[in-house]
Order: sequence, then structure tokens, then C-alpha cells
Amino acid sequence: MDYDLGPIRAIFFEEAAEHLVELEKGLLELEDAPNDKELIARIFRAAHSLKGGAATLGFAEIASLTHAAETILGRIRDGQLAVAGARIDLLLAAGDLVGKLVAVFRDEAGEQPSTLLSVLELLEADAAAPSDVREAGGRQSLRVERGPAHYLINFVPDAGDLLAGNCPLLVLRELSELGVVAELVVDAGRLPPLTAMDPEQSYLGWSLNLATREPATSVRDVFSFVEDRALVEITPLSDTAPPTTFAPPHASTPSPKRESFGGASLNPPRLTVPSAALAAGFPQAAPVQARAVRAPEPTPVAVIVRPQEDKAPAAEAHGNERSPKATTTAAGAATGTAAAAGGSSIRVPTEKVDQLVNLVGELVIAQSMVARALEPNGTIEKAREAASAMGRITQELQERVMKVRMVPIGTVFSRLPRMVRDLAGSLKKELELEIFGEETEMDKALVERVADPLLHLVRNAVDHGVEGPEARAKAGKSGAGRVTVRAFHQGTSIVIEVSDDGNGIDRERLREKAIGAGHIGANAQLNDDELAALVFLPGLSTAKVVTDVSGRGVGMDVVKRNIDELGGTIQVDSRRGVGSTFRLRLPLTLAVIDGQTVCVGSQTFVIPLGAIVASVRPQLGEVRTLPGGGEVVRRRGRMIPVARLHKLLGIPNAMTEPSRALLVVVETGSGELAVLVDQVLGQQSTVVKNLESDYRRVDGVMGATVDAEGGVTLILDVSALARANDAAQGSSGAFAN
Amino acid sequence: MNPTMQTNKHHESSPHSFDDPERHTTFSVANQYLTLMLGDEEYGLPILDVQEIRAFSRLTPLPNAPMSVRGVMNLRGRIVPVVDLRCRFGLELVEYTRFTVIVIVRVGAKIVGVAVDAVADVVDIPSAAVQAASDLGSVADASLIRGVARIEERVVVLLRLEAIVAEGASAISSY
Repeated sequence: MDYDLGPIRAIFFEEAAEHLVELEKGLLELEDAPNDKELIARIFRAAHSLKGGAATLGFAEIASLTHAAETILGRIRDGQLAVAGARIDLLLAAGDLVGKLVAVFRDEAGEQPSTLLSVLELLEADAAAPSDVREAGGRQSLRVERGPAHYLINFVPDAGDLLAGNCPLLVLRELSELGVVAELVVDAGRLPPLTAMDPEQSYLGWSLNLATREPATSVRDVFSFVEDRALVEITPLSDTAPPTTFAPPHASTPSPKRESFGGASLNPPRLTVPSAALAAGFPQAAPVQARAVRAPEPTPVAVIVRPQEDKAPAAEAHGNERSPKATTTAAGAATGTAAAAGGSSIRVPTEKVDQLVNLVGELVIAQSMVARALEPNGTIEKAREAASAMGRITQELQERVMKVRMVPIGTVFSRLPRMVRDLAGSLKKELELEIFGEETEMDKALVERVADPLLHLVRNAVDHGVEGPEARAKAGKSGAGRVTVRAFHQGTSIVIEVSDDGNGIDRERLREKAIGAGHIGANAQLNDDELAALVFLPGLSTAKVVTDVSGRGVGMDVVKRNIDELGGTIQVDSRRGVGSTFRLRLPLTLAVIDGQTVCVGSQTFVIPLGAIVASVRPQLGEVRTLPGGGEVVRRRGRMIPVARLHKLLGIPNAMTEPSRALLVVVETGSGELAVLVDQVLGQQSTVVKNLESDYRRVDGVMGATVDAEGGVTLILDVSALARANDAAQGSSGAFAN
Repeated sequence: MNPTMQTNKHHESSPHSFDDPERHTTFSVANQYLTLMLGDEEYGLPILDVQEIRAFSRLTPLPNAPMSVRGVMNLRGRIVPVVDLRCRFGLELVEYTRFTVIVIVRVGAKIVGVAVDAVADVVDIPSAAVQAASDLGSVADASLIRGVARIEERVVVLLRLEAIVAEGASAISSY
């Protein structure tokens, strides 16, 4: 049958990104907690899910990589392999490779990474490696000498499983890979007559006798995709197999499916399952008897997962985290390991959507109230009431819709531990990374765009900030350098801090370099803050050694530019010998800003309120013209440039005499700028719309908004205005197109 | 000159009277054009590219935009540039009046408004009735007009929409 696998593939790619993040996170945690069984199980599940999906969709490379990784993880879980740095490295490399392969398959472009074969070989070698766990040696040898364990497995997939993308054949194939299937009996008892058969339903059941050296958990894992819906019973037949400890199911109501299974489906000579006992539920049920296979009294062990109605408790009982609730944590998974291009999507918790649906429902009611109030027998009071109700609802609706765009910044932070770990390895430094405020939410678009600058800052802190072990010892600091990343909300901004306890910025060196590069004069008087801020100039790096990590002097200026573009600011606090803190301040969202409306000539513009420092009316003659045409005004003892908006934007009929107009002083990111406008009007929060979607980027304009009259008002980009003003130097025709 | 050029305005002609299979699509919407007026001249836009026709509303001028881009307007929350067709053709500019009409067209994924004096008609023009701009020699700017069609006494100049809105908004030229 030919299915359209497109949507399933898309889901796989999205989920793969999440699984990879989980895998990587888990592996990094595992280094610190090598005995955390729950953690290993979590990593294992991530690998297993990847494998299952990849195998179903025919991504053989991913399947074989994850299969080998899963084998290693399984052996770690069973205490056969140790959690060693090299092994974690290998597993991480495998994860990276899977990420690349996912991208290759998703985009149907690019070549398979050249390292595929070598990594796969290493993985397989490691998967088959002799045990290297010392302390568990005794138990180990016992295990190796033991013959295969026999399991009696009953498996009746849910009738609709095929539609859910689970193919029972895959399960059986996977079982046969575990060992030898000694017997297999197909239960065709539920097959309807041919005319009544739905080819997309699964009617068969199987009972089989599996001889395997794998632990019982591996046998169970085969069913991890289907156990939610299918009837799965695993009974160890030999006493050499360790009894597995699954939580017994607690529901006792017989489901029709189990009845039919117990009553009709099985082949009595081989396997008798008293249906009454089954109906009563395990563990009170009588032991399953298997006469054909000569085995000692079997212990009844079951992964009986009830169909649908008891799904949730059963899943809990098995520590299964694939609970059906919607999730926010992976909302930005597209930014994760496997991320890159492609249409971006947001995963929204069902709860948030429900709230929106409710609000829209209320809105419809309010609208009909308005309509009724406007009918002949309506009153103006009623209309007013209805309109105010409608206003309240729309406002809440707007707030909630905005929240849909908010995702936790943890999706970016989750990439940091891995990066720091790798850097510490290659730089031979000892490091501790602390992360606070992962749950802090910000606009998805911002999260994506803040990732690179943030990664760069952390890389910088590790490379330049934190000293090497000897230098730290000499300075009397603890061996491990500490890098702290912190995110929190402050007003309508989000602040992200990257701190290190390293040596701080060498201001004198920076000064020399800045003089050398011609950024400042040799005699320039700069205070400490200004000196530290030199770090953001292009081409300056105080690293004495250029590493491949950083030190080429490209970077901090790019970081600053990126942050400027997002309408944010970056500051540095640095104390020699104590450490540095880089502080990013970003708007929570790009979608809404608080704006000050100003007017020039007959036009109005919005200036982002966050950028405005002051509005002043200059005295006559206070705005001076410099030789060359540039204008400046004195403010707090310093001269700041004046930008005439009417000149920059080519607006006729504007007020040209500064003393009869107003100067709006804005912070542009590279200093203050006084913008000459006719007058300031009101302030309001405005929804930012871009011009690019139907037109193009307009220099000096960051977007547009719809005003109260339904017209369009442009929102000015003060940084671009400052640049244009510099370029124009008083001449007309500011923006060079 | 093409002797078979004739009007289909009254839907009289049967498709079978033509030998050219292309003409079988005579009545399909693909051959329908919205005609609009600039002064006394009538121009045609493929009707499939036209999204809607709106009365003139206040435009917000854009800094340093080409002359022909008269500004942006709010189209149900979407910020849409408006190209002045007179300006685009180098015709004398006129004040916008309440008769001025903005034809909202789709070009690729973008939506653009085209300001014209008035809209006139919807006509069927079979492709065979169109004389390509390249036949007209240098009198027609083949980059802006696709061809000329005669409908009874009228002459309709068929426009190349992409080029018209593209040059005004250079970012659109990627389509």
C-alpha cells in the first residue's frame, strides 16, 4: 500500500530534533551521574525513538547509528559498560551525525557526512566491546556464562496500529534480532471474513518463544512503541532470566480485546491462558502455562498496557514519559542540534489554544451584543457596554496571542553545556557552567536570533575570560573556571548575562590595540567603562593567542551589531582579576513596542520609547553647525549630533528652526543622537508590522504600525538614523540607496 | 497586423470557429482582463492577478522610495506598497481624487496596490487577439507592456504586471 509519508516524515524530523536535544542533554548529565538509571533510561528512550522512527521511514543510516548507540546505552544500563568520557564523546558524535543526517534527509540536499562510516564502525566496535566495568565483574561473568533466557511473548497489536504508523512486522523483526525465535504461532482467530476485512486494520496476534541473551528489559523495549495500545505479555520461562519488575497493571475491568484474546485467539495445546484469570487481571492471575516449552513454573510478568481508557496510569506505571499532554519545553526545538533552515513552527500547548478559542467565542458574543444594541430598540448605553466588553476581550486576546509566540530561552541555553564541554576539552581548561532562568520566556523570533550572539559570548568567556589552570592557581582561584549564564525579565525587557570569574578585560592592552587600529587617538581620555566598551569595536581582540575558538577579533563587534539589530543593547562590566559580565538587554518581543508618536511636516512617525532619553526644546542658537555642515547640541556637558528628520527622510514643510521645534534625544547604541522633530504627540504600544513582506526593507525604518484611523505610521530605527546622519554629514540625500 | 483580431465581449464567437486550439480557452477566466483608465488610455491586467479593487485611502509616504511608489496603505493589517501607474509610465501626475482607485494585485507572494484613475471593464481577450509588444517595435516598451489588443473600437494595452510593480519596489524583482 502506498502511503503518503510526507506528514509522517515531517513529524519525524521535528521529533528527531527533540530526541537529539534530549539525548545530548542526557549524555552530558550522565557524565556527572553515571549511576542514574532513570537518566540512562531516558537517553535510551530518546535513542530508541529515533531508531524506531528512522527504521519505519527507511532512513537506514540513522537507524543503524542509533541502533549501535542504543546497544551501548543498553549495556551501560545493564552495568556491562562503564560511563567513560570517550564513550560519551562517541555517543555525542553519533548524535551530531544523526542531526546532520536528519538535515540531509529533511532537505533532500547535501551529502551524507563523511564521518558516517568511521563513527558507525567505532560505535559498533564499542557496542560489542567486552565489559569494562570492574566492580561489577563477578556479576558480569555469571551473566556471560549463562545460557539464553527463554521468554514467552504474546503480542496482539491494536487493530488501528497500522494507521498509527506502527507495523507489527517491525516489532517481530526486532524481536528476532534479539535472539532465536524458537516457535511462533499466529493467531488468526480475529480475522473477519474477506468481505468484512479492512486492509488498514491489523487482525493478527502472535505468540512466540524467544531465546535470547539480551536482558528482559531489551525484550520489553521492543514493544515500547506499541505497548500503549497493544496487548503485550512477556513471561520469562527459565529461572536463569532475572524476573523483570514491571509495575502490575491496576485496572481490573476486562476489556473486550483481552477477552477475545484469552478466549479464542490462542492455540490451546501450546499456551493456555485462562480468560477468567486474565480478566481478573495480573498479578492475581494464575501463572501462564506453557506446556510445549518445558520450563519451570513461569513467573507471570506482564507488560499489559490497557487499551485507551487506562492509558495514562499505565504509562506512568512504566515510567514512560510519552504522556499525551502538550509540551512547551521543546517549543524551540527547531533551534536545537538538528535545526537550521526550514519553515519555523511553534508548538503551542493545547491549553493556550483552548484559552484563545474561548476568548474568540466571547468575542463573537460581544460582537452580537454590539449588533443588537445598534438595532432600533437598542440604547446607546447598551452599545457602550457591549463595546467596552469587546474592547476588554480584544485586549486579552492580543495579549494571549502574543504569548503564543513566547518560548522559553532554555531552548538556546540547552546548547551551552555541550559547547562548553567541548571547548573545555580542546582548551584544556576546567570549567563549570551554571545556568539560571532557562524558563524565562521571550519571542520565538528573538530566541532564534539571539542564539548566535549568546553562543559567541559564552565561547568568549570560556576562551578569553577564564584563565588556564596554572594562571588560576597563581591567582589563588579554584581550579575550575566558572561561567554563569542567567536570564531574567526586567520590565518589558529580557536580560541575559554571561559572566566569568576570569581575569577581566585588559584595558591597557585594549587601549593600545584601539590606538593601533586607529579607533581612538593616542591621547584619548577614556574612563574604565569606555575602555571596556572598546571590546565591541571591530578588529580588536585582546587574546594573545589566536585559537580556533576565538581571538581573531571578529566577533564582539558582530555580536553587538546583531544585538543592535534586535533593538537591544549590550554592556560589559569587567574587573581586572575578578571577571567580566556581558549583559544583553533585549525587548521581550519584536511584535509589540511602546512608541512615542512624533510629527514632522504633515507626517507622523513612531520612535521606540525604549530608545528615548529625553525631549528638549533647544534655545535659539543652541544647535551649532560644525564646519562641514554637521550639527551638534550640548547635552550634559557633551556635544551630541543632531539629526534633522525632515532632511533625512525628505519631508517637506517641516519646522526648520530648532528653537521652535523639539529635539528627541535617543540612545542609538553607539551614543546619543538628538532627532529634530516638529512636536511630540502621544505614547502608545504598537503592533509592529514589517514592510519587507510586501515591499522591502526601508533604511531608517524598522517597521510600520496601523494607527487609530486605520492608516499606516512608520516606526523609526534610531540606530539606522544615526548611521545615515553620520554618512550624510549635513548634506541632503541621507540614505545612499 | 492580425486580421483575426476581434472582440469576444459579447461572447458571440464560438470556440469552434477557430482552428487554433489555444482559442478554445476563449471563455475561460484566464483570458479575462480588468481594464483601467489613465486619462483616455485603457490598460488591461489579467483578472486572475487582481485581488480586489479599493477606493483611494490615505497613503503614508516612504522615505527615499522611488517616485512611483507613492506610499504604503493598510490592507486589513497588511502593509502594502502602492505604485502610481501614471508615474510608472512617466505620464503627467494628477491629484488623487475620490474617483482614484487602487487595484490590489498579487505578484508572487507579495501584494501590491496600483493607483489608477478609474477601472473600466472586464473583457475577454483571446491570446490570438493580442499583438505582442515586440511586434510594435520601439514605440512600445516591451518590458512594461505585453501587447496590444483591439476590442471593437477600443484599444487595450495589456500590462506586464510583474515589471510594473517590480521596478517600483526593487525587492519584488526577485519574482
